[in-house]
Amino acid sequence: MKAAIRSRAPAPFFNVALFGLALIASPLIADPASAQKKGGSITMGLELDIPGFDPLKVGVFDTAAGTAAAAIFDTLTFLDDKGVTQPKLALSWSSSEDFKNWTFKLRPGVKFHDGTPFNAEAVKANFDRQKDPANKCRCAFYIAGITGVQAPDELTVVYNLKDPSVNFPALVTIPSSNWVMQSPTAWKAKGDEYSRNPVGTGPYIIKSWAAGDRMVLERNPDYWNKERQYLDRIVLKPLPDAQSRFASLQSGEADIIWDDEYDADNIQKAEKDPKLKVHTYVGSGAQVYAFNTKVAPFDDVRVRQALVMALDRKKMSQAITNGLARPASNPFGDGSWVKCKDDGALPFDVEKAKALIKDYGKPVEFKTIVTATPRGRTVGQVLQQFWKQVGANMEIEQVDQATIVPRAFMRQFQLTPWRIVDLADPDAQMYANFRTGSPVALANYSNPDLDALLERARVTADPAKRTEDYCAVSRLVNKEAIWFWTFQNTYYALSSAKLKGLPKMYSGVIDVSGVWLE
Amino acid sequence: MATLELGIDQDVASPARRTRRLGLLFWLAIGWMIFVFALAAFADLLPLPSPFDMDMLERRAPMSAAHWLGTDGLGRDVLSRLIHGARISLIVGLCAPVIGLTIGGALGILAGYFRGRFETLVVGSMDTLLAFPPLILALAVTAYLGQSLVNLTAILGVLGIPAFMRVARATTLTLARREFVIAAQALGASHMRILLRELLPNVFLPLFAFFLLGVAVTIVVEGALSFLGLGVPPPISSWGIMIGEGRESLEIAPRLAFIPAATMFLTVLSFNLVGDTLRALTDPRQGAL
Repeated sequence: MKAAIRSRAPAPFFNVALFGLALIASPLIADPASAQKKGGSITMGLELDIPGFDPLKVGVFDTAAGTAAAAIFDTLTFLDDKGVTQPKLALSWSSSEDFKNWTFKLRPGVKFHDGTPFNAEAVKANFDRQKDPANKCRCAFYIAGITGVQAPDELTVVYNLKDPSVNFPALVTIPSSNWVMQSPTAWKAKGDEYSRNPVGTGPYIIKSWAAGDRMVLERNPDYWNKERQYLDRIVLKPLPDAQSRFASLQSGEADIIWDDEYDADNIQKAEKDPKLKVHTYVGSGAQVYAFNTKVAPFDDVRVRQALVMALDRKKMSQAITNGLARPASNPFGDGSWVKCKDDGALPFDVEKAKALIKDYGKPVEFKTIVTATPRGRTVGQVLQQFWKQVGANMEIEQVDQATIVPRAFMRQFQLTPWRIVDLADPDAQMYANFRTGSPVALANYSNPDLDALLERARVTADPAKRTEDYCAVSRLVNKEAIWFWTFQNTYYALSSAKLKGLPKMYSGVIDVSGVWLE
Repeated sequence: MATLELGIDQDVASPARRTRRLGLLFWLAIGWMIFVFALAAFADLLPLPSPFDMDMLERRAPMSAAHWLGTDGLGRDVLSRLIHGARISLIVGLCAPVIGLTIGGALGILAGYFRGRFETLVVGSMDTLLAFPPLILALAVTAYLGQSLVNLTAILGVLGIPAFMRVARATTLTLARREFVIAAQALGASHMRILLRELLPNVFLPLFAFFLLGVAVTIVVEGALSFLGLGVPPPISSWGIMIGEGRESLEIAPRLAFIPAATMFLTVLSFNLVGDTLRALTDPRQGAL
């Protein structure tokens, strides 16, 4: 039996270790009822400069690169605004009965910008290049759960998975380095130059790109879906400073800018401004912290529980984001299909926390890693304050954003910040984060009950049963307090009110490839 | 050697009469310095709220009886942070130039007195140190040794050595040929005696005037490094940190950045004024000794 599946049914997938790295986004859904105008150009202010697009060079795309990738490249499928998987470069898909082999039928007649035909061989070449151990791609980690790709004919692609995955087509919607389709002839011909001269099948082509200044994207005249191309030109500019980014939006220099809740003053200002519009999306996942349970004082569950109970997330949200950040009590979030009646969250209880620390008997002193940024220092000081109130002494250790990941993998920390990113299915990250022995199981914690729940949840097809298992995981992790969650992932974009048709920001990627100006 | 070279410094004979009036500004500057020092020194005795306690629901509160200068972005008392921040700014601002003064001053006097290969070596190594980009050095040291008050002071101190060395050497060069030194040499005084009893007291005054200017520069540099996040680790406050944090809400509560900036401005101005006045009084080229 082969079943065509287009649901958001949960399923196991590959291990993903993430620190705000991998992305999901849904391209372009335009409401056909409203009158979309063709033509015009927009300028977008991004948070970061884009390093490049060759997966072998950059490993994974950040959200800034994701915005450009969504315009230059296509993925096999995309998520519409209801979260349903829809065809893009693939027209239809079906799976084997055990959900371990997925067959995609490709759209015929699609060509890359350089004229290379897009076909099953191209899909296979993209995959093989990333998977090849000789290429040492950092992106290979995220496709570890796929054993191979076959191209039985011109327009048929088969993915072979290690573990069953009911929801596989929803997971390949991300415009990340793993899932965008790049031209094999282009990367072979251009070699080292390819990363800054990427070739895809997408609606826009790079016209010019000055590093640190701007990237100019022009409409692809041979795009397969001309109806969804409205703008003639998209200009992407890196504007790292939040104040100047917002100023350029106000002055009309930019039409849309990336933003986040730590820039709450400007977001609230934009809400009051009739000329501006605030776009927001609450994803799944959360901003989290992991205790290293192998080192004192976190080898004692009482200390971990006390620290979690000492947190007043509402107050914290008020202090750092004017109340915009949404407190999280489990790792799934409002954007996830996993909804728990009881997630086992520890209550905010200063007295109980004090009692637990007193019970522990020894002085509680530790270091917390924060990023060496104003934001990192602010959050660090707020945590420090909460924990001081219950008698725990925390020292702030400022490190560069890039060093957090290797330090976490080498377990060189006592308490480290982390992120569970917005993916369509929780399995990838839950399995990686909590299964004994996983490189991302940062807490160094092992519990056979937890392992059993994770193993079962990834091979169960029934969403209700999986939800039960994941809620049990949440209860266990909350009770043992090996990780804790501060806030949910909420994404923001601020735009001029004239800009229309922005799709949901799945995983924080702002996809402007299908917007139009009124 | 007993060869007297008496004909060299003829202009020494005409010491200019100097007015000893220091002016109102000088005393105002001294007054402000004493005020800031006193507040910093007795911060713990003053009835101030803790500089670390946050009232997270009272962010950026305006000035009130409870918070004389209002609260900052995390609901902490600005006045208390300002006064406790003065400690850090003054500790770094005074200790770092002391390192420069001691090491640079000693090297400069020795180089100016002994000349020869030793001088070449000292001047050469100081030029090397000057050529090294200071911000890179600060970044490297904080990245490698971590952020702390001691590391910060040490970096700024080391960076100040060449300037002090140059001032000490230049002064010593002119003094070493003066009659009193030659007289001491003729009387058979040891190098040690000449250095400590004849040269040091005369080199010290211009060096001290330069030290005061160094304090002013160091306070600003500490502020700049803290602003960049390379200063003392949070939650300790320093003026630079306060300006950096205040920048985040510049549009909503500009005072959060401007109050510490104004305090720093006044303090640096005071050190500059006092330093400048003393330098004018003790400039060896005036031959006022």
